[in-house]
Amino acid sequence: MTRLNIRHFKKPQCRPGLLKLLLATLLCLNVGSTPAFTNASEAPPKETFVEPIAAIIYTHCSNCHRPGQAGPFSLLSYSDVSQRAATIQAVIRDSYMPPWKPIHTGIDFSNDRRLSDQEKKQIDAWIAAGCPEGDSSKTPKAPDFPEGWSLGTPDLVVQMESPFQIPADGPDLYRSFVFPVGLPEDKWIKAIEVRPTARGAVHHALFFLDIDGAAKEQKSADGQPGFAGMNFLKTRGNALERMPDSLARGLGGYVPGATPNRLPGDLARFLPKGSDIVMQTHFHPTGKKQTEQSQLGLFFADVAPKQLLVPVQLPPLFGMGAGIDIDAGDANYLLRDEYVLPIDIVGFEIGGHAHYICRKMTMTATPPGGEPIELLRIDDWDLDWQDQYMFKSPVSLAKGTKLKVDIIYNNSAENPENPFSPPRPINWGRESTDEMGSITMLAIAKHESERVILEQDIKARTRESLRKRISSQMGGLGGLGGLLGRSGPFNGSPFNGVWLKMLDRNRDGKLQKSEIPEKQRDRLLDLMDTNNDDVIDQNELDNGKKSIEQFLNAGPRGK
Amino acid sequence: MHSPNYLMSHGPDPKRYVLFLFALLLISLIPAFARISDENSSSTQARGLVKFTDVGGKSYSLQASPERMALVLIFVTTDCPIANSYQPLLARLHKEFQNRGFEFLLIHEGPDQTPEKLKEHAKDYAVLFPVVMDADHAIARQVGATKTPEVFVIGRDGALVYQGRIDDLHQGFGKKRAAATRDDLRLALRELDAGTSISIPKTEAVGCSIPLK
Repeated sequence: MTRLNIRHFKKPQCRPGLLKLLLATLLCLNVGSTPAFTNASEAPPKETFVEPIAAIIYTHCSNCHRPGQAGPFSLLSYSDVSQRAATIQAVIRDSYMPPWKPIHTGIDFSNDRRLSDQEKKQIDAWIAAGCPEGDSSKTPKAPDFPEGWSLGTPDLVVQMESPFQIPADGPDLYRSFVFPVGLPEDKWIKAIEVRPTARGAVHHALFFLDIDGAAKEQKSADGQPGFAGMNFLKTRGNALERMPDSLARGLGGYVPGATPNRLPGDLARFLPKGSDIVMQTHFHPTGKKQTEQSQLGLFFADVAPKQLLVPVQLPPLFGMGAGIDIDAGDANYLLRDEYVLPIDIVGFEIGGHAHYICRKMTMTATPPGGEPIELLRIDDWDLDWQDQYMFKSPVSLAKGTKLKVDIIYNNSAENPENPFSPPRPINWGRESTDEMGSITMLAIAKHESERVILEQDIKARTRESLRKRISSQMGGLGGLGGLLGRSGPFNGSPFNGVWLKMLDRNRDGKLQKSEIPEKQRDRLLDLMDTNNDDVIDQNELDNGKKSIEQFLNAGPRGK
Repeated sequence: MHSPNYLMSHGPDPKRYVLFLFALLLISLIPAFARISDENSSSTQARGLVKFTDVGGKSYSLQASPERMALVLIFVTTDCPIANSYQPLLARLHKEFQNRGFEFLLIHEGPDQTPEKLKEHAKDYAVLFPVVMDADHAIARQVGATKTPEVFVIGRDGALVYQGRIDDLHQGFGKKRAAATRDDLRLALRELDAGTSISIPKTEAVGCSIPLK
């Protein structure tokens, strides 16, 4: 026992605790010459940097932790790694690094970055042994990481038109930038790769399609490129009819650590002619001023895919119509949505979306008469690391399979990521301090001829969600109904009613964005401002009211 | 002003000196106590005095100094993202307290440093107070710093009056509040300035580990 203790104690540490230094000084300077350690029968430390640590680090860390990438420092050499061993151990123990959120439920993902339990043990043992280097002449060579684009030369490179200034500090920033792609013909996207210039500050980005070029007309009052929030999800024309489509126009995303993938087989995402790409970017100020001027590399398919991807999102519209209404202090709010598949499908990729107070999310599939399978399970949701996860083997789900999504929110003061202190009620909304919640699986119909059944079924659900959303917003004096002239929902109430007189402060017969109460501003502009000029004129109001009435009266359509 | 009781202050008070010796004796006799001592004793006198110079050549000592209200040591590395993200706040604190006798020092603990790299870092992050290269971690060991960023405030009498985080923004790796709910360092400096006792003299720093190899 004693011997063991002494041996353990005398082993050199990467980071010897002060306890050990002190004990060494006061107690055992002479016990010191490490008899156990130098004993001939003692095997040399098993783990060295040369074998197996270097390979583990190269595989799991170095792709980001190298010059010019998102990691704050390089992990390429013995010196890089051994001098940061204590930090490395701490972030691994905390499951902070490598960044990987899904719990392994039996479903394998092809982009899995986790360390195996054995690799973690090897790293621990190596650090406990004092981070021995081993025979440095045998250090494996660091991989040849591609310089520049990791998928080769893109078919098209687009760049932000001007740089965006990221402040040195302050709260996280969300900013949407329009890449004016505007191609004269339809294209099919196999992969998108983004190259940010302020890699440490860009925490994640989501890509959306802007099919009618409306987003680039949005200007920001601060004179900087891009605009805040997610209002690019609006479209020209009848917003209500098109909103279900516009919200489904995700093109994937970027988080540090994720390697861009080409979609498997001949699969590709549609880029209609004339479309632009909007990148919603989440910045963490880093302590110094930086500028961001990303480049996007687009990789196109040569031919149109034989089968089209369909996003299966539960609940639809990022939870817009699901009635997310979380009381202040509620530590365990459940958002649930269920959907029975109308046809056989094959899933390729899955990912979630929510904001700060979300804690957990799962999507479960229960085949008819079968056992439930967890397709995605995240137990410590962190919007910083929202990612798309590609199934290692595509997942076949039969007609009649019930998909169930459970999303748990913690709106209590105990949740350190609660954006409000003290907590406030949180509802669905586009600001980062509002909430959203959904899991989306990208799938194809097993038989392409049946795809339209799935698409129409999903569209009907989405419309139903939107209808619920609008109905709920109409209620109450503070709702849109009140704002627009209440009852029925409008019942022919004139625009020049009491609300307009109260709101139209500059008496020009129109409602400017600044005249609309903040609480109703986004909703009202979404629904009414069809030409996206942030002004609702008489014509837009009349048409808007008409279309809302029609929409509500019609109920879910498209079946 | 009372030092927190976990400190073994080296003041002119002979009783404290005796206490200090007694404590040392205890430590040497009972190894189990050593950990407690190791964690709690950050007396700048416990293991001898350290003099050091900043990258501009000016020298400093951790000893008692009647000319200043306090020495504020901020341990960082050039590449610890949490430490770097605090630079704008540190600049504001420096502005608030620099004319009240508080000397701020940014102590660099990272590997592979040169005075040029530190000067470049100071320029990038708009650091306006002196920068010290602690390549062999002598200062970190002296006061017991293990994390970046971690702050040690040493009072006029050479006693440690505050140790720990700058604020509670970070609750762990990747667990960041929208805004801090307690500005620990600012409060400690204000209390010290007002001559009141430090309400929370020790907190847990969250950040990168100092490579004390």
